[in-house]
This record gives sequence, structure tokens and C-alpha cells, in this order.
Amino acid sequence: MINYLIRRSLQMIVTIIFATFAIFVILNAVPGGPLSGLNQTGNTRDRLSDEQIARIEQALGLNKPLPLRYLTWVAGEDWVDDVAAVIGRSEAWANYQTPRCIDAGRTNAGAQTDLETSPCGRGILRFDFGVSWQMARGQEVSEVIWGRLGNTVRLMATVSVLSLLIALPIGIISAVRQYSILDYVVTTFGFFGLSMPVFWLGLILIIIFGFQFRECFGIDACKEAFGSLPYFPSGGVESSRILPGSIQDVFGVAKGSSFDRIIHLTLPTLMLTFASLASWSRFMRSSMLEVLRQDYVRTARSKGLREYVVIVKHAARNALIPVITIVVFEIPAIFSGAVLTESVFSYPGIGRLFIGALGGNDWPIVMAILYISAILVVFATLVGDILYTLIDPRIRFD
Amino acid sequence: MSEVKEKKVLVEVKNLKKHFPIKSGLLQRTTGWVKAVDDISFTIYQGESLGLVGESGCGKTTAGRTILRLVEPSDGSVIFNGTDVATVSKQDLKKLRQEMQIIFQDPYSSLDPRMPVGESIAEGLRIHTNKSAEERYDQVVQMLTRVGMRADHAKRYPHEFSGGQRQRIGIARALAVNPKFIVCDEPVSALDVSIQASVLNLLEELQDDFGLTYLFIAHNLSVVEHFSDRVGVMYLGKMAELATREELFRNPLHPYTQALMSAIPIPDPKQRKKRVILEGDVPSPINPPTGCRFHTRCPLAYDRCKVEEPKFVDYGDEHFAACHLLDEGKPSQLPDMNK
Amino acid sequence: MSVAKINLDELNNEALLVEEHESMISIYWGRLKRHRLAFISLIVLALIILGVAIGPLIMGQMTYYNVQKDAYVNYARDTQDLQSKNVSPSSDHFLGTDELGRDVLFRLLIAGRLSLTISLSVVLIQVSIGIFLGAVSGFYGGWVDSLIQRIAEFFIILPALPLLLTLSSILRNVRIPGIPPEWSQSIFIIVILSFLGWPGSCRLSRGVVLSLRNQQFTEAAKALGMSDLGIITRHMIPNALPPIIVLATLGLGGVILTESALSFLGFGINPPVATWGNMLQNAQTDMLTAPWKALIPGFFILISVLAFNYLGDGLRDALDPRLKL
Repeated sequence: MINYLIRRSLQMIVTIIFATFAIFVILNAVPGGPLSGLNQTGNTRDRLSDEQIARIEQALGLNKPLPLRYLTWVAGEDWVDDVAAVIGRSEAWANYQTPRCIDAGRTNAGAQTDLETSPCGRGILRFDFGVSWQMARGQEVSEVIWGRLGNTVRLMATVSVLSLLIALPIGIISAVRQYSILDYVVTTFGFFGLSMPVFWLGLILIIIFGFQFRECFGIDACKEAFGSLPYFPSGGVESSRILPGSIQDVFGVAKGSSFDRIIHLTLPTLMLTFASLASWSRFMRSSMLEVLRQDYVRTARSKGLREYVVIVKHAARNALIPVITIVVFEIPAIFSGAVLTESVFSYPGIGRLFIGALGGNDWPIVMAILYISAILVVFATLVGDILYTLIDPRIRFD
Repeated sequence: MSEVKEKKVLVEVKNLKKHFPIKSGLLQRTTGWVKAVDDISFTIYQGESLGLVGESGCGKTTAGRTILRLVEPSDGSVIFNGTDVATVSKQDLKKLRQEMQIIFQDPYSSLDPRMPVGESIAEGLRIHTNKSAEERYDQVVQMLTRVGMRADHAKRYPHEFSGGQRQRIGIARALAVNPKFIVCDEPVSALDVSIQASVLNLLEELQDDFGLTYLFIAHNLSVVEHFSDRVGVMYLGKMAELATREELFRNPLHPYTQALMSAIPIPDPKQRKKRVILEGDVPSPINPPTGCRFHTRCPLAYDRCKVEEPKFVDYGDEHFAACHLLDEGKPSQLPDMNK
Repeated sequence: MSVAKINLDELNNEALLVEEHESMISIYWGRLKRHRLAFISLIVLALIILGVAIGPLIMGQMTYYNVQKDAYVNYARDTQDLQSKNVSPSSDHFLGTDELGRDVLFRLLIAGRLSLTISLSVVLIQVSIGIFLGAVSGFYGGWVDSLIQRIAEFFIILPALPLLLTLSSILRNVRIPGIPPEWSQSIFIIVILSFLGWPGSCRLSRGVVLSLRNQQFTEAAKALGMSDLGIITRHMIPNALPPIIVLATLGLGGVILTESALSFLGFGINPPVATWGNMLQNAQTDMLTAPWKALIPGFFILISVLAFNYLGDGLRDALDPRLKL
């Protein structure tokens, strides 16, 4: 067991190192490059001179040779001077440091005393992702991400909890009543959930609960009676002002209050939940069906136990084992869903930040988010694997 | 049974070894070896049928596969018609493959489920000849009828046949390339008793018609008794005894052979026979016993058996055995437990 | 022991146990037909494919009244009519027009061509790579297997959508010289999606091959002198095919979804080239006035993905090896 854990952890570390390498290569060695978008303006006056580009490259650390750039991205630049001194190439190497680091005296004397405020990059392994180029120019990437993280975590957590709370009972009931009308509805719904473009569902939700509610579906009688149905906001995290007839207005919710935020979260949650609900209830159903076929369930029944006890205590508990591990594996996938959801609903989370950074060639942010999500996935896989081997005594540790 | 007139050696197995590594631990290092076949030597004469018997796990199947180089031998040589199969180059091996074939134990996994049986039979022709599709088909039909099947069976899939029929198809496939030597790896063990006889008869008939040489692997002596000219007995990767059929059944020298022999049921309640029951299980081939491998179960074992490995020696008339008792001229007969 | 003649009666009795010969394809087809939803899906897919293949050809010959040009013109992908932007469905425009007054139905059909072609190419490429690597990996084992499996695991573990977005965002300004930009864009999308999608079929075919490697028919082929490549192509891959066909069918739907998501976010195929995904791109701004623009392309994605999924489900049952072959 210990052996297994050690091996898995080693594998995980190797995978993350490979991931950093892949991310770096994709973003830096593939044609296109970070600065290719700079001189694409048709207007010659706005074009940058070679000198300007060189300065930008120096500032962004793009003048370094690729291997060194990778190393400083991963491990920071505060060691560059020391290494350069050892191998006797201080002059050449010093130029590769970012201006901030050079301004600090070209050495890390000041930096070493207080790593927190060091002007030199510390590398992603120490969770220093550098400085944003575009989205929030000059701001620390970690700060930018931290500022958005809360919104995404709130969304993902709500969706995960909600999906589990609904998917598990649905899956169990649908398996117990296999071939019933309910089962038929659940499986059909599952197929739709898997086949539906999530972002399209988001658009439909906005059309219905945002616009058509406001317009009373264009029905005059409705308009005369209510003016508009209580409609949902079509995006954002909170209202800047309460619109007349909106759901916040109807229920008297103050702008910026936590209720206001919950209302904004409703449609995105609905959209993402639908997507994960479909696959999770299918997992639960098939796992439950598998368990219900087992002899020990038949034994429990033949002992004369009440059906409820058989299903909840004997069957469902065992059926949960594979489902839980699959859910752990799947949690990173919600992040992918979040990218789409946040775009559709203009919800300022990590996903939208990512899209924006891609659009604006803000490489440090893109690389940081890729790196973090890679760690997330690797970690979730590890936890899922370990959970699986811990829960299921039949798995051998090698 | 075909009488062996002149003894021409077709296959000569010399000090053949096959050891499988056991890997374990964090770095998957080799921590031990399974000595499936450990230094066996014998010859197979042209036109004969050599039976190879032993309990399951004694290495007889591995021996058969190593001789055909379906698994790479760890050491030793297999001289087939003057060529060393163990070291021959890939190209020459491919040519040699025509001459040596194998018939498998399990008729259910020996045919590709997604390939019509006719194509399976024609496979060897496709590899080794330039025959056109029609010519191949003609030969497939010929082979099918030769093994007692119908021509229209060629287009069918394996799942449409019974075990006995599949075994016939397997035989036809081996026969299609016109081999000289066939390893029969327990070809009837997986079949119903009623069908076993017809498959054995077929094999015998084919041996006469095509002048085939068989290495016939079996896990009990009763099948071999009716089928082989000579019989070899294996125990834990080693040869224990080898003699002509008549000689072996009349005068089994090795205690293990005697024990095996006492296990053959005799369909006559009045006839009493010697009864020997071996103690314990077959030891693991991972850490086989030192000295004579059989000493842990041999009622006659003494000190020398535990430390020194007995040599496989000819005790007259090509009756080979590996036992220290014989070496020292002492009686090696087991006591009858009926008494 | 005397050689007994083969007892022909006994053999014939054995043969009688065998029912009438039926080819494998017809068995599978019969089973698939019994799966009602899969069969309906097959028909729906056939109609969609037929529609996108010949629909634009027919419509291209038909004319409508273009208000801006004040003339009857043929339907075309990029013909604008700024005088009738976001017009609701009418006899001239069965599914209305978009924000530039282009006919939505025509664009939808053209978009379907591209979406389906991309999806088919991606699945074909990734399945071919996957089958081959999986078969090699399972057949040879050892370090080859370890290497391929570690790579596959790595690909599976990579965060898919962010990576896809990154790759296509980097490549969106790159053009393959000598071919139209829309082709070069599609080729990049196909390459990226295939590049990231092969591990699924690789693992599947490896699993099948691993189970086949120890079957005796593989050994028989080896004993007949067949080369490793021959064994892989003639025995391993045909046996690995049925589960992979199922995977590929489900994959077709998956690729349509992924491509549409990429295009929707603006990182896939860019306008004026139409795909079902990028037709939804601008739908958001006119959702109130022209909801059909958002509803219809999405509906087509839903229907075709649903059909692929049901078909895959039906094929899974039809090709199930546990049922008697």
C-alpha cells in the first residue's frame, strides 16, 4: 500500500512536470507566438518599431533562449545570477532578467531576505505566475486569478452538490424501477443531457427566463395584467441597479446583497447542473443495476428484510463506491463546463478570464490557468485512484 | 501403429531451458525466475509419435511451445532436420514454420471468432505460397473433407461449430501447409469423451497418410498409452523418464512414473493393481527443490536426493531415467500401498 | 491399436447441431433493427446527411427576392441583404435571416456539411491512430506498452477544453499557404481534435488485444509464420473493431459538440465560414428579436448528436460479444 502510494505520487509529480513542459512548448514553440498579434493592426502608424518590440520582449522575458525561459518560468529567476556567477557568465545572463529584477540591483541580495516582496519572479512551482501582460496590465497573475477564483468555486461547488443530491436518488429509483415510465424518462433525459450543447441550453435559458419573461412571451393579456413576469438577469454576478419588474425588484432584493448574487447564480447553475446531472444519474443507475443483480442482494431479500432496507442499506451503499470515484474524476470536467457557462452568462470567473486572456494574448494568465487546471486534474485522478483502491478491497496495490 | 523401421532423427532437443522472469517491487525489477523448462534433452525420430506426460504446471506445454519457438528459449538448442530452431534467423524461421505445426488444446480459443474457418485454414497458404484465391479455396476444401468436414463449412464462422468440429478445423489449418512435425498440445483434453476417440483416430490416420511426426502432449498416461511409440515423463521442468511405450508401461523405472501409472483406471474390477498415493502437492517452479526435484514427494528419497541432481541416463535400450537409486543399482520400485 | 475408420454418421450428427448458416453482418443488422431508437437515429442521420449534401445544391438553383439588391438572386452562403436583417421565417427565408440578412437555412445546411465532415475526419483519424497504437501497445507489451500507455494517460489527464482553446487560439492566425483560409482553419481544428482524442480508442483496442494476445489463434498464426504486423492487422484489429465502432459512433457526436463549443467561443472556425457552432456566436445579441437564430443551429446539433448517441447505444447492443455470435 505504501509502495503504491509512493509510486502514484511519483507518477503524479512526473506528470505535472511533463504538463508544465507541454504547456510551455504549446505556448512558446508553436508558430504564432505571443507577440504575433501585436503588429496585426492594419494601421501603419500604430505599428511598433523593432526597437519597441525588443524592449517589450526584454520586459516580458521573451529575449531569453527557450530552455532558460522554461526554467525561469518553472523555477523563477532569482537563482539566475548565482548560477551565472558560478559558471562565469554573469554579464550575458544578467540581461535575461526582467527589468524589475535588474532594477533591484541585478542581484537577489534584496530578494533573498524577503521572498514575498521579491521583484524577481519565483516561478510557478512556488506559485508565482508572473505579471499580467494585457488583461490587468502590471498586476500579479496570482492576484488576478485569486480575485476571480471565488466566483468559479461558488459556481462549481453549487453545481457539484446540487447534481449529486439530485442524480443519486434519481439513479437509484430509476434502477430499482427498471423499465418503468420513470426509468424511461430518466434515461431519455440522460441522453438529451449528454447530447445537448451546454452553451445552447444557456442561450435558451436566457431567452426564456431573461427576455421572454420580461416581454411576457409577447402575450398582450399578460403584459396588461403584470407588465412583465419576474425575469432573471442574463449575466454578471450582481446587479449594478435593480431593474423594474426583474426578479430582484419583485422580491425586494437589494443590489449586491447575497440574495442578488444567488439570483445571478441561478441560471448558470441550472445550465451546468443539467449537463452533469445527465451523466451522473446514468452512472448511478448502471452501478445500481449491477449491484441489484448480485447474490448478496438476493440473500438480503430472501432473509425477509424490508425492500427499503435492502435497497438503501445493502444495494445503494455498494453502488455508491464506483460512482463516488467517478465523480471525483469528473470534478475537473466541471471546470471545462464553467468556461462555457461563464462565457454565456458573462460571469466573471476563471473560465471567462481564461477566454479573455486567450483573446488578448495574455500568456502568463493562460499558462497559469492551464498549470493550475493540470494540477487539479492530476490531483483529482490521484484522489480518485486512491479512493477506489481504499474502498474496494478487491483491488490489489500494484 | 506405425512401425519405426529405420531411426532417423527429426528433432533433437538439447539442454533446452525456458525461464520466465518474475517482476515485482517499485521498479519492477526481476526478483526471481519461474523455471518452466529446465534443461531437458531428448530426440524425436521421424515418423514416430512421442508422448510427453506430466501433471499440470510441469512445463510440458511450455516445452512444446519452446521447441516450435513460439516462446523464445532461454538456453539450449532444438535441431530440426539439421537446423537449430532456437538460433535460426527470422527469415529462415518463417520457412521452417511450414514444417512444424501445432494443434491446440482449447478448440474455442484456437480459431479467430471473426474469421470464416476457411480463411483460417487458408492462412498458412497465404503466407507461404503464391496461390490464387481459387487455388487456396480448392485446397481448403480438400483439407476440410480430409478431416471429415464438408466443403460448405468453409464460409462459416467458428461459433457455428461444436468443439470436436473446431478441433478438426484446427487440425486442417495445421495440415494445410504440409508440415513434417506437429506438436499436439493436449488436443483432446477439452473435448467430450465420446468425441475424443474420433479426433485421436483422425490424428492417427493422418500420421500414416502424410508421414507425420508427432510430439503428443498429455496430462495423463491413458491417452498416451494408445497413441505413442515412445513416452517421456516430465516433472517440474525436468525429464524424469523416457522409454518406448511398451518398455515404460512394463518396467517403469522412475518412482514418479510408477505413481502416475498407478493412477490409470483399469476397467476391470477383478484385476488388482499396484496403488501408490503421493504425499503433498507439486512444489512451486519458482523455487524448485534442490537436488532431485521429486525428493519432497518421493517415498524412497534419501540424503543424496536432497543435494545432488540425478543425471538423465540411458539404462539400456534407450530407456532413460533420472534417479540416484538406479545410478547406484538399487531397486527403485515403490511399495504397493494396497498391502 | 487399429485405425478405426472415421464414423461418418457420428460426424453428421455433430453437424446437425449447427443451425442454418447466417452471415455476421446480417446478424448484426437484425439486432440493430430491433433497437428501435437506434434504427430511427440511423434514418434521421441519413436524412441529415442527405440534406446537407444535396440541399445546398438544390437551393443554389433557387432564387429569392433580395430587398437590398432589388432583384431575385440565388441562395448563397454569403449573399447579404442588409434591408432584411433578422427577418423571421417566411416563404423566401424558411428559417429567417441573420444579422447580415443571409438566409439561415442555406447557411445551416452548408454549416452541417462542415460540422459533419470535421467530425467524421477527426473520428477517423483519432480512431486509426488509437487502434494502431493500442494494438501495438497491447501486442508487444514491455517498454513499448509502458511508453504508449504513459503518453495516453498523459493526454487523458490534460485539461481538455482549456488546452483545445489554447491550441486553436494560437493557431487561429496561422495559415497553411496555398489553400483557402477556411480550409486551413478546418484542418487545424481537425488536427487538434484528433491529436487530443486518440487515447480513448487506444486504451480500448489495447484492452481487446491484451485479451486476444493469449488466445490460441494468435499463437496459431505465429506458428504459421505470420509476421507481427500481419497478426495485428488480420487478427487483432478485426476483433477490436466492434467495440471501437461503438466508441467511434459516440465520438462523432462528441466531436460535433466540442467543435461547436470551440466555434461558439470564437476559437474554432471563424465567420464568414459557417458551422453550427459559430452560427450561435452572434445569436446572443439578437436573442430577443431573432430567437430562431439561436434555436435552430443548436437544435440541429442536438438532434445529430442525439442520433449518434442512440446509434452508438444500439450498436453496442448489436455488437455485444456476450450475446451469442
